[in-house]
Amino acid sequence: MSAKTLSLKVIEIVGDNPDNFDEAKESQVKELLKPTNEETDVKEIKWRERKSSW
Amino acid sequence: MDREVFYKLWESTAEKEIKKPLDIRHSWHRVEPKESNRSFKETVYSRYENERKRYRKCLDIKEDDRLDRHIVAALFYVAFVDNTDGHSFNVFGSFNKKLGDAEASITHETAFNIACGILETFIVYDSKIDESFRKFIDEKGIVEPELISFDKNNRNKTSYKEEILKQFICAQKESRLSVSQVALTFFFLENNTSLRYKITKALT
Repeated sequence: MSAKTLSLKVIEIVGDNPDNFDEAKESQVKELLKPTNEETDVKEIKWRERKSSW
Repeated sequence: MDREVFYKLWESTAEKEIKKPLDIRHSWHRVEPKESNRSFKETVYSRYENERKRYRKCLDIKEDDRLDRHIVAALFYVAFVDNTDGHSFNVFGSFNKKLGDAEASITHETAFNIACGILETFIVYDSKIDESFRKFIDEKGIVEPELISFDKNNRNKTSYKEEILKQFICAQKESRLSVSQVALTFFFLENNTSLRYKITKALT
């Protein structure tokens, strides 16, 4: 489990001086706020029978 | 949850959680709610009431029918993060648009913590729920599920709570943050907690 909270991670990127909050830092925050998806290689996917019962 | 219960929960849960982002600041950081505690409480309650009316009307639920605890927590969450007038927190007291994402993350994390507190209170005081589970919730609260990642590069970078918050922030940006979907997340979290409770009980 991640020890730092999301807010703390964001605040660390924002930094101490609001005047220094430039586009690079803005895109770092945007990147952090992107949900972490595990990407699957679509080419590898084949149809299969569903195994679970519900 | 009527006004009286809302105020009690605000005092017991929200006030403490609202102060947390202020505690994480470093010496030069300034993170503050946009409104004073009293007017903040009034604003959120009024949004909560509007959300509740809209939800009841949408599903044709009578005024005196009580709402499920997950819905109550979700209504609070959606009311708290409403960004009609910008997010609830200012970072550096700035109106810099670029800081909107930083303000969103603090607002959503605070809303999530308070909503979990509301859910816990509703479980702890519900006499229909098994007493030992209520005691478990009283001691441990809603337990955060372990985030299991099969991608080696993603491990330990994030947490279950963080991923929920990111998705909720995205949903709000899409203008599709839905009470029912937030409620479903709280339902899953409670269900996971009860599973953890059962495992703990079986092991002792």
